[in-house]
Amino acid sequence: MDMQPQERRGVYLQQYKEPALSREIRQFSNASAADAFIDLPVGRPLEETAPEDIIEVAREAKIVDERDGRRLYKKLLRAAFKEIKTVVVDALDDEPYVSSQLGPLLALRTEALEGLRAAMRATGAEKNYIVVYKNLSDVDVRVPTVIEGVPVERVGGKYPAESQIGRELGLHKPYVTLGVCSLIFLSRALKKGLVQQSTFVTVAGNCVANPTNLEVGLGMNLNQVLERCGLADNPTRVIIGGPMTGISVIDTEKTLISPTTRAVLAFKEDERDRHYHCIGCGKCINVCPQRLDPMLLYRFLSNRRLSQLPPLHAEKCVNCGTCSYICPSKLPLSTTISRYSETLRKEDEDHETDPA
Amino acid sequence: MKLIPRDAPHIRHSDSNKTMMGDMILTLLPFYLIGVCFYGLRVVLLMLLSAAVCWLADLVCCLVRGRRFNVRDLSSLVTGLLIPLLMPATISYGVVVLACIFAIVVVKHPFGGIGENLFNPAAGGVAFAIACWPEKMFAYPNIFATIPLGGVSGVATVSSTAYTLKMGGVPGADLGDVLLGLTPGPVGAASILVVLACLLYLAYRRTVPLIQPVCFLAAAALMAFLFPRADIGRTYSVAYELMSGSLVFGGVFLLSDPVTSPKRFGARALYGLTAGVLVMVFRRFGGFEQGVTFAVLLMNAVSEEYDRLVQYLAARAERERRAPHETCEE
Amino acid sequence: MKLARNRRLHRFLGKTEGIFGHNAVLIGGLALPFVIMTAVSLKNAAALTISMLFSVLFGVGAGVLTRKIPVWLRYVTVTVAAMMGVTLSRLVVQHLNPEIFDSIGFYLPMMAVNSIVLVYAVERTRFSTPGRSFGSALACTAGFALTACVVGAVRELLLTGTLWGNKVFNITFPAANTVFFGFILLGFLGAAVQEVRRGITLINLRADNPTTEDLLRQQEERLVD
Repeated sequence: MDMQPQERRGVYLQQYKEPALSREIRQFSNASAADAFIDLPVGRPLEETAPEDIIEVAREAKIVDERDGRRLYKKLLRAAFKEIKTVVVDALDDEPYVSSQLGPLLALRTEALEGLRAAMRATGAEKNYIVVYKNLSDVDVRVPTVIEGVPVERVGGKYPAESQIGRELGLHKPYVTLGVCSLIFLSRALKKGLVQQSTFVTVAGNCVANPTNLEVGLGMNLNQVLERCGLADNPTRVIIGGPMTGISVIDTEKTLISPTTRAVLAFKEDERDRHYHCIGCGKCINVCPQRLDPMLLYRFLSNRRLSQLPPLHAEKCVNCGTCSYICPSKLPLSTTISRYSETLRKEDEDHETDPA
Repeated sequence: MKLIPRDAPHIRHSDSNKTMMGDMILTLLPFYLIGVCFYGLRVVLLMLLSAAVCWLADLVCCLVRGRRFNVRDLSSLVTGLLIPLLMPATISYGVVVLACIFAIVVVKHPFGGIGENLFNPAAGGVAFAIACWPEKMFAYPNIFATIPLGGVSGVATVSSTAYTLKMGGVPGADLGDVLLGLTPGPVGAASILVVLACLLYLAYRRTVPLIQPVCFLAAAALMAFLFPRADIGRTYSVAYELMSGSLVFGGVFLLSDPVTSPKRFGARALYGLTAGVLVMVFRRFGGFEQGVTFAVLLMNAVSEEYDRLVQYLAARAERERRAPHETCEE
Repeated sequence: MKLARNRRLHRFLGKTEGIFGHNAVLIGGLALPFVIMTAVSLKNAAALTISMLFSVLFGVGAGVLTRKIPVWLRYVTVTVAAMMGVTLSRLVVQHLNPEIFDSIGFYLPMMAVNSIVLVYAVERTRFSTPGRSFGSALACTAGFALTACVVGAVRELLLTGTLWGNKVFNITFPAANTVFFGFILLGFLGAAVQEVRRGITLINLRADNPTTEDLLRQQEERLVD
């Protein structure tokens, strides 16, 4: 099936991944935390382990995929059920500052590849890829094109790239995307029976003295993580997640690290609300990767003209934040539209019958 | 640490409303410089008066409407700087003041104010001035003539090349002179090279999309090529038509107002093309020698339709192009 | 908010329906071309009002008398009667100014088919008493008269600086007799009328419900005393 190439939309963002990417990944957990183990037979070679056992190990080890927060075993189960033939390992990290997938991939390659092989066996897939972001111009480490026989594909260039994986690789058959950190934990669970008790987090930002990737124990609060890396300045904004889609934190003592906290960023800047009005420049329309019309959507939503919204297909919004990024009037386009699309999706879920 | 909760995204592009409007103002200042060289300091007084009147009118209208007045909003200053550039240097201060007031109070705010106005305020103000005082608006002084700062009744005025073309005559000015702006004309519209340079700068800064003025000039050139007004041969006709009057200036600064022009690429191209055709039609069949302000106003009224048309075509193409089976992602 | 004051306002507006209530021209949008095109001086406005009055009287009279015949025939009879009225009005109008027929042109005969006559003579006479029909039609005419005279006076002042032929001041603004000026003037007048009404309601409201700033100011004044 010949898909005509469509023009890639999005913005080029300056990636500040160094020096966090080149530094060694250290462990950081509570001194009193002990390793937990699963009580299933582990340590056997991969060829002797049945696919169902791999999935059982993933379930007992409570491994969570850091891309979307879903349990790894559920994803493997669903992939096996649907007979998916391609596994894609996501080490994309298309947001600036964040390198909590690329760093572990390069530092712990063997574990990642073992996890990948286990996932292939569990789902019965035949092909596999590792996807890495193309726009890594200011990165000091070299990203190889093949890691132990698995091709490393460079995807994207413009942000957002997550939704472009299928299109860029030209995948026609169904595929499953797994985060590389979850595969690392899968290999650890299969080898030593370890439950996932940590996650890989990038700590960066212009207030952090030593930006680095850390393997942080789950449940530690942000204060500890930031103190571990040292704060050069008092930040005015602390974000968990990437700078484009992250959530801004109010209380760093009560916010805890979870498996989907990809990054902790601390910024100091003085941004005042300018109360500009939309000038209709149309930059948001030219940049939306889902080809929506953020200008009209925002106007109609602000004026509560809900009857005019259906033709604009607001449910396609992936909440990438590119429209808000580029808007010269600094309007909250992405927040308004994605909030509305979430209510639409919830309505759809209510109306759908559960397929169980 | 005192943390401020904010919505994503937490990084923003460095362009803002202020930089975009600031770019426009920056590119309008060279014209005033040239105006000072050609016509003296009266041009600067016109600029200051018009900018002040526009800003005050904007403030008063915002207060009357109960809206919050944004001090950083420079759009009224852009309007204020544009209006005197389309008028002769000997225009009386009263005309400029009334044109500015009309532009802000009648064209901009009743339709919604900043960001929602249907028509370009500068084009509206200048069109109002043309309709009310046609003799005053098209009486241009000679270059390098001394123009007093106050009353200008003693200054000799001539007509421009645009008037000659309208009457069907052959313009007597040398083409080189017209290109460099050494013929009588509106203050800002004379020097074509400067207009083109400003256009390139604005396009580089992404304040103005390049496709629209290019299509506009191409369409106007094509119309001038196909239907020359004077008996001077087709290429000369193109050159004179494009370089006389405010055609290029209007196409770059008036037509490219982000609020009133369409947003999609195809729509912008079509808009520029039809605007170019319309300007030449107005020049030939209209009542005045200058057609660009009226053409801009007419196009502003239908600019939304271009967006809708292109969106409809794109949606249809998308539906036909979509693959029958979609790759499903877990 | 004390509703009594508001009720008084609304009663006044109801009694003056067509003039201040819903002004026939500014809010109802009836008989617009006459005001925009021809009301460029006060004398023109007076001439228009007189012929409008005659045509309305004759038209509504015909409408009242012919209530029983089918609607399409009523349009014909009302128009014929209104034309008779317009012809009679020419005799009165020519005393205002001998050149008035040149400046008004064909808008004078067009008075016979203006929207006020057609709406009020044909439609409104079907379901109300003759007295009410005449009353509402005359109120509309009064509203038209008011608007036309105001617009005519403003445009005459701007155009030539005269009012009913007598010179008032020296400023001339030659664009005042263009159509687009008439449109814009009418638009702003309509907006002003709406604002006046809103303003009265707002004053009523504020008289009984002071804002927080007002209360604070009153408190300060009491402390000072």
